[in-house]
Amino acid sequence: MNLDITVPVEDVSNLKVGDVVYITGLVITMRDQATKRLVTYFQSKIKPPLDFQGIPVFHCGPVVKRTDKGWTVESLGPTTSARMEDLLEPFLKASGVRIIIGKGGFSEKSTEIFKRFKAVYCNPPGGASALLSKSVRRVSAVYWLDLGPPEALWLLEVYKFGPMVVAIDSHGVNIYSRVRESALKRISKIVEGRI
Amino acid sequence: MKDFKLKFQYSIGKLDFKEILLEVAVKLIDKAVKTIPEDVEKAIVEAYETETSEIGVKMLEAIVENIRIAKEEGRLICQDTGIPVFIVEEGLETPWRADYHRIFTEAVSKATEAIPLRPNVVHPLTRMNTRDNTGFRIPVLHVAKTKGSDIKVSFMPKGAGSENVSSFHMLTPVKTVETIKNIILTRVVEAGGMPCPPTILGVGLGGTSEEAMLMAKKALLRPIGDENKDSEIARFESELLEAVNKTGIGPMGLGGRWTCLDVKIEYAYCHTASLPLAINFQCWAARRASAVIKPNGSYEIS
Ligand code: SF4
Repeated sequence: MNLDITVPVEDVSNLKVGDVVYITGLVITMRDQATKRLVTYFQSKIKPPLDFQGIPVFHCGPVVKRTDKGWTVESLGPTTSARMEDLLEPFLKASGVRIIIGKGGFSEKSTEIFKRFKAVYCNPPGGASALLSKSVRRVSAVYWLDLGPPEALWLLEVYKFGPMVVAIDSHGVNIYSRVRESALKRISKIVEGRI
Repeated sequence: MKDFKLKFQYSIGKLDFKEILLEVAVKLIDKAVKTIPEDVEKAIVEAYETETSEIGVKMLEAIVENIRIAKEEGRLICQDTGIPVFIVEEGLETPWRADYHRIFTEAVSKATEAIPLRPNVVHPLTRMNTRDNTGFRIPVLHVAKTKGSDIKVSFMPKGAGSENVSSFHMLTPVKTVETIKNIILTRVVEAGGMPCPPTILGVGLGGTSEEAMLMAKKALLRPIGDENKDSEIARFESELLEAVNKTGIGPMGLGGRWTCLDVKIEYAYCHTASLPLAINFQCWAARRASAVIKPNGSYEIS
């Protein structure tokens, strides 16, 4: 199913694995260092620079440019989410985030975490930054620039950002682990020439 | 000795080789990050037209669209403009000499600001970002001497998604073709969507540990469809490609027919007691650009 989503969004239980979604509204970029700092903030009860409730988190390190009028996004696309897997649970728990955007997904052990926190994972085509950056309307704010531009938190206004495939849903389905498991089972058959 | 001095020069008449090389390097970077080679584009379009999974088609369609937009609007193919890698093949008869590393460093720094490129280069421990994509031993540079009088400079911006899943395996010599196949397939499946499939696999077989890794990287410079000159190796390349595409990992690891666009093997003889195997993944955004510099200072970029 093709779906247009307007954020902030609280309930994503209608999204099912295989749906193709486009997002309009706000997204916030975040990767390794910012995720780590944020989880430390949550654990030490320090207030983060913004309220994440309802805003999709985009695992991404954009290419940005500073002009007279402020910041512009030159290029952006998903980065590998697996690097943030260890922090997924504390992150979802404390942030209230319901949509994570990235590439490569998470392993089977995280499927249950998405289910528990009623969250989904969306995968836009990795590397397709020329296409994806066209849907960025404006840089709304930037936080934690001390981490370096790719690692900073960029709050972006986007319009019909996608296509993204819902790859882990809130009902316990994870495409990556399904594909991986079936592939692992095939390996010996392929090598032996049985398929 | 006198003859040697006359033969190698930094400049001939008004031609300054440093200037030429700097110009070439900047142009290679610009071309590589905004367009993908024709052979790769053709293979992606073919994959799009023949993909069987619905999600796979959606992903490949967006990638085809992305390539078009990048080309038409001069945008980056992918936001991860990678770590800069230069590979130089220097003809033994060339009249030119240059401090490659210094010149390529300048080119990378200039291109980072002008294009702009994402500042990706950090200290390995402190993670301090140099902000201009250069650093100690970066850009990565490999120089080899070859026959002839031309200098071939290749540039490859290598993204982390695909580089991070690359691997090295020291096998025992009794291991068979099946073992090699098994290892490669397992690596592909474990990598899943991380290297942005459909990928290209560079495989280094034999040599020593470092030689195998280098061969795997250099294999990625060969265009899609190009077969290894050794017919046995060429057969193994197509066998591996077929096998990898039977895994069903598919575009972006979301399932489908196209996991891999091509497999390239480079090999070297090795010690009777060892069998090194290196795998270097390249993503669909298989960016590379090369230039051939002639003795008269003219050059051609491809
Ligand atoms: S793996 Fe390649 S295509 Fe994917 S994000 Fe990294 S550099 Fe871009």
